Amino acid sequence: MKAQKKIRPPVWADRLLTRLCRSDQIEEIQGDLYESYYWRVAKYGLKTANRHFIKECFQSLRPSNLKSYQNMDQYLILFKSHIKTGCRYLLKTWKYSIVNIVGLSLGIVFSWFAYLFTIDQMTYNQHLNNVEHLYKMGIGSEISGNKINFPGASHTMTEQVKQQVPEVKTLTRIRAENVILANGQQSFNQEAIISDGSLIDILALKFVEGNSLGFGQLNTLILSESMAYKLGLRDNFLDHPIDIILNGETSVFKVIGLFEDVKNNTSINPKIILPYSFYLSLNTENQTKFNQLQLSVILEFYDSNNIEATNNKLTEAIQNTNDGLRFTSNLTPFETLHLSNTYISGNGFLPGGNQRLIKFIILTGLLCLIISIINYTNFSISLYVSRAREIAVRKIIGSAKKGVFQQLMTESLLTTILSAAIALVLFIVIAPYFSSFVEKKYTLFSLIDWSITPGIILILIIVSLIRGLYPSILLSRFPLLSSLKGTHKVGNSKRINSALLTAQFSISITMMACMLTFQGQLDYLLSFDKGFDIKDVIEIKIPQDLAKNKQVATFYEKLKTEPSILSQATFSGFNMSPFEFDESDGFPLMNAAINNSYMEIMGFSIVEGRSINDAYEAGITDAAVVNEAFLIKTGLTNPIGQKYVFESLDKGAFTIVGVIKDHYLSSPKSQPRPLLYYAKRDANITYNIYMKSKLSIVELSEKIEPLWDELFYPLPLQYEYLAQSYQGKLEQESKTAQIATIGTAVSIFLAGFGLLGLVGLTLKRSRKELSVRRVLGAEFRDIVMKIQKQFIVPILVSLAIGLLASSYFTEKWLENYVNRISYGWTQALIPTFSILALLVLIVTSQVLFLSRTNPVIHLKDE
Amino acid sequence: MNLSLGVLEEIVLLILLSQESTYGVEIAKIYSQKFDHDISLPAIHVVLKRLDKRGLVQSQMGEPTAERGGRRKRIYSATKEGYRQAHQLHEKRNNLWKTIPKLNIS
Repeated sequence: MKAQKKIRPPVWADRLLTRLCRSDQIEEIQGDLYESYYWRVAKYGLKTANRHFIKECFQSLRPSNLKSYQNMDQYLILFKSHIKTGCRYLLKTWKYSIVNIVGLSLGIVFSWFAYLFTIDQMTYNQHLNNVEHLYKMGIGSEISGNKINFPGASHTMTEQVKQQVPEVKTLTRIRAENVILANGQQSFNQEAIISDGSLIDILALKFVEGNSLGFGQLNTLILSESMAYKLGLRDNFLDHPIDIILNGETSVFKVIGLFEDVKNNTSINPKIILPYSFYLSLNTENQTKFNQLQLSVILEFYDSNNIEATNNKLTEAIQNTNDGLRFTSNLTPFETLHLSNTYISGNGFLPGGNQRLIKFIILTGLLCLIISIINYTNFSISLYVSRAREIAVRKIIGSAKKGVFQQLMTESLLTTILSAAIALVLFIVIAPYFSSFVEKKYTLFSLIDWSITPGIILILIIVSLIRGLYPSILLSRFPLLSSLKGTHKVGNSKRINSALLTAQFSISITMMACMLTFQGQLDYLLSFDKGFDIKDVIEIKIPQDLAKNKQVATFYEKLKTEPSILSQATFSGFNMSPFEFDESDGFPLMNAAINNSYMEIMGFSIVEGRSINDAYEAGITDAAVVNEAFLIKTGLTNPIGQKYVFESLDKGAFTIVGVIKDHYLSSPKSQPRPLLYYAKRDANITYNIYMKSKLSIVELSEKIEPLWDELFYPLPLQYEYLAQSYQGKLEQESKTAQIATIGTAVSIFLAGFGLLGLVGLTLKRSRKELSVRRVLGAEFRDIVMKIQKQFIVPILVSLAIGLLASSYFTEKWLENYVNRISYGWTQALIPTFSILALLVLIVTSQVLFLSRTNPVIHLKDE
Repeated sequence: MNLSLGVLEEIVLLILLSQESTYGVEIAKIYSQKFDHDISLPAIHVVLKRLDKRGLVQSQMGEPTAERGGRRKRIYSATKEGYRQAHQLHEKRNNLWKTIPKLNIS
C-alpha cells in the first residue's frame, strides 16, 4: 500500500517562527497554530489551512513576542556580521565598489523601465468587467478579390445581431465624434464617445458624483473628472448645461454624472460620453444603410468557449439580407486586443501596442543588466584572488565553506541593495524622458503597485543571486594552505575574466553595430528619392467636421488673396474603389481628386506624358495621371491617351495624360500601390490644403488665422510642415534608433568601466613585476604593449562575435523594408575602431598613472 | 473601577467566564461559532496577554497533545477580579439601556 504523505504546516513559516519567537511564548503560540491548522485542514482543506498558518505565523511576530538580539538565532547574528564585513570590504575597495554599484544601478534602472512598460502593455484591458467574454467585432469583405477588414459595423447590422444571436449578452456600439465643447466662455475641440449605456458597465466606471441612471435619454452626458476640470466645473455641476457643437449645429446637454478617469491601460479611454440616441438623432439616413460601417462594436457573450461557432452565427445574422451577403464577422478578444496584429484603432479605440518596440525595450534592458552583472562577476573574481588570505584565516578560525559562501553572497546582496537605492534616484531622473518616449506617464509611484513591486523586487533578488553565485562558489573552494602562503593561483580566473570580457564586449559591439544600422536605415528612409519633393510645403488640416462644408472652398479662395502664399493646392484624400480595366480583371484602385496645382506643389516626377496643371486643364475635363505601379498591375505599355470607365469618378470616364514615378507619400516602408489622380472638375475639394509661402510657418499662420477665424471660429486652425508630419510615419524607426543609441551608450559605458577596472586590477597585481622592468629600463611603450596584449585577444574575439551577430540580426530586421540599406563597412568599421581606441585609451591612461609613481615604493612593498 | 475594556477583551473574558477554563484555539472556535466569522489566533493571544497583565485572567501550562505536535497548552481561567469587572460593565450597560426611551421604531 502506498504510504500517505504526512500533512504538516509549511515548514519555512514554522522555522521562521521558531527562530524569531521568545522561548517562553513559542510553546503556546506554536501549539495553538498547529492545533488550529489541523482543525482547518479538516474543515476548509489544505490550501486554506496553509494560507492561514503562514498569515498567523507572521501576525504572531509582534515585538512583544520576538527574541532580544542577544538571544537571537546564530544565523541572524552571522548575517549581521556578514553585513559588517561586507561594508568594510566595500569601503576598502571603494573605487571598484563605486564602479560596480553605479554600473549595476544603470542596469537595474533600465530593466525596471523595461519591466514596467512590458507589464503595462501586457495588462491592457485586463481590469475590464468580464474581460474574458468581451470581443471587438469587425467586418470583413472582398473588393475585387482582395480581402479587406473594416474595424466597425453598421447600425442595421448590430440590430440584426441583437435579434438573431442569443449568445450575445450585451452589444455596445461606439461612435467617436470630434466636437467642440463649450461651457460659458470656455470652448475646445474634444473627441466625444457616443455609446450605448452598457459601455459604463464594461469599463466599470466609478461615479464620483451623480450616476448613470438617466443616461440614455437624449441630451444627457457623463464626464470624466479630468474633463470636468478642463471645462472649469468645480462643484454643483449636476444638471449643468454644456454646449456641444457638431457639424456646425449646437446641442445643449445636461451633465448627469462624473466618473473617475479610466485607467491608462485601457483601449477605450472616454473623457465624455454621450448617449447612443444622440447618434441616431443625427444620422437618420445611416440607420437604414446597411453598409455604413461607422460603429465600433463590443460584444459580450454569455459563454465564449466555442467562439468560432458564435462567430459563424454572427456572420449568418449579417448575411441574412441581400445587402449583407458580401460581409463576414471578425472577432478580436479584448484580452489580447492591444497587442493583436489584426487590431485596427480609431473610432473611440486608442492605438494598439507595438510588439516590436516592446521586444526591443526588453532586449535593451536585459542586455544592459547582463553587462553590469558581468562587470561585478569580473571584478569579484579579480579582487577575490587578493582576498584568499582573508578567507583562509576565516577557515582556520572555524568557518566552513558554507560560511564563506554566505559571506560572499551577503556582499552581493549588499551591493545590489545599494545599487537599487541609486537606481531609484536614477528612475526619478529618467522617468519623464522615458514617459514621453513611450507616451505614458511613469513616476516613482508607478513602482509601488501590487502588480509591479513583486517583479521589481524579484529582479533585484535574481540579480543578486546570479552575480554573486559564481564568485562565491569559486572563492569558498580556495585551498587553505596555499591561500595562506599566498602561492594559490586561481588557474581559471584569467580565462574566466577573458571569457566574461568577451561576452560583455560582444554585446556592446552587437548593440553598436545594430544602432548604426537602425540609424542608417532611418536616414535612408528620410533621404532616398521618394518620387516627391515636399520641402517647405505647409499643410492645413481640415477637421473631419468640415469635410462637406462649402465654407472650406470660400476659405481656399480667400487664401489666394494673401500675397505671401506663393502657390496653393487641394486634394481630396484617397478613396479605394474597385476598378475593372478589362472585362475579366480588376483590382482595388486608390484614387484621389486633385486640383491643377497639386502635382506641382508636391513635386511629383513625371515619367511619361504630362502633369495635371493649369496650362492644359482649362478645356479638358477627364484628365488623369497614374503611377508606375498602375502600369505594372494593368500591363499597359502605351498608356497615354487610353480611356477608361471608372464608376467612382464624377463623370465615370477618364483619359490617362501622364505617368508619374512611384512615390512613397503614404509610407516609405511599403511597396507603392497603383494610384490614380484625376483633375477635379468641381472646385469644391474640401479636404486638406497645401501651400508654399515665402514666410515661415509661424509668420504665415499669423496672416491666415484671421481668415480662418472669420469662417470657422471657435475651431482652431491646424497646420504643420508636411515634411514634419511625413517624418512621423517613421516614428517606430526613430524610436528604435533612439533606444538603440541609449542602449549602446550605456553598454559601452559599462563595458568601458569594466575594462578600466580589469586593467587597473591587472596593473595592481603585477606592479612589482612592472616596477622591476621599469628599474631595468623598460620603456613606457613596452609596458603599454605588454598590458594590451592581455586584452587584445578577448576584444578581437568579441569584435568577431559582435559583428557576426549584428549582421545576422540587422539583415533580418531590414527584410521588413522594401527600400533598405545593407549591412556594410560602416557598421563593421566604426565599432572596430571605437572599441580598439577605447582599449588603447584605457590601457595608456592606466599605465601612465602607474608610471608617475616611484617604482621603488612598489618594490619595497611587503 | 477601570472600565477601559475593549470589545474583544470583553468578549474573550466572557467566553472564559462561561467555560471556567479554556485555551486559545478553543476561544477562537467559540468566537467564530457565536459571531459567524473567524478570528485570528494572534489576536486572541494578544488579548489574553493583556487580560493576564491586568489580573483579570490567570493561566497555567496543561498537558502536551499529539495534535499540537507534542506542545503543551496554556490554559486560561477568569479571576474573581475578572468576573467583578465584567459584571460591573454589564450593569453599567444595562443602566444605560434603561435610559433609552421606548420608541416604536418599526
